[in-house]
Amino acid sequence: MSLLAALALAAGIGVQRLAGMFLLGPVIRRRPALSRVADLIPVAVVTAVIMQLGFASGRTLVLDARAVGLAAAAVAVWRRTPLIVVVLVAASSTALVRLAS
Amino acid sequence: MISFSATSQLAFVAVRAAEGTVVAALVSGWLVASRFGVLSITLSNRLRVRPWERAAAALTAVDPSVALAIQQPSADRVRAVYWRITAFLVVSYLSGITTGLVLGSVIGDIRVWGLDVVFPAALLSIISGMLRRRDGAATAAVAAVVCVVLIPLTPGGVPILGSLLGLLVGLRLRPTAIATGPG
Repeated sequence: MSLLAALALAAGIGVQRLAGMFLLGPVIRRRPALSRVADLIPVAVVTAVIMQLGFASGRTLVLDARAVGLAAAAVAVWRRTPLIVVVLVAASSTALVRLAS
Repeated sequence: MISFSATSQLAFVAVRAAEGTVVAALVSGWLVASRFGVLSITLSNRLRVRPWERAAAALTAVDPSVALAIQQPSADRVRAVYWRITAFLVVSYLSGITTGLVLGSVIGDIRVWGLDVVFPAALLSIISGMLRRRDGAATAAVAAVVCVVLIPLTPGGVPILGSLLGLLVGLRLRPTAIATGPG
């Protein structure tokens, strides 16, 4: 990546981040009904990131050992186990499936 | 590095590798990063500090730090947790690169150890509080479906933006708790 393109990428991302903090954020704060929007936005975005990391390879949908790990993680989350346990359960079950196949 | 958005850099490199133009690569990098602008909106609501500190927070906001910070009950706690997680992430990010360079050839493929599910599993655990709320669970369910449908159809970044459609359903429901799981 050329230096100029890298700087343009970083600048564009910086502008988006600052606009969210200083322009859009205060608008939402003045309208309390909109605060629930701000609550739910990260849920949607984080869910999408999980799907992308767990069930895709580039632009192809893939069902592999990661799905097993995430299913195990979902059970661990449902059982209210701490984050570190959730992560260990996910990683070890994914590793075991890969070992077996 | 400077944008603290590894996925944007990956998107940029991926488009360039597929012989896309610099402009197309930049746009997809920005699209992938749009979630950080959204995270800043959320953080802006809960972080009550001076402008320079708000700017610094906006520029470093990532999913785990924002998600954990906004679950805190008081403004002081939001601020403390936000910076503690951010410091932890910066240290891990830098030491991760260093460790990768040194141990890369020793450990080999991280997939053997299942390390590629660590990030999504941690994210799942982090949003679990919201998933126990009726509106949060509905939002996540719709977001997941929309994202999976869009992944093969649209360029990188669009599936993540499309997941915001989940809010259309989530906002129609009450933010009441769902009785799930033991305890």
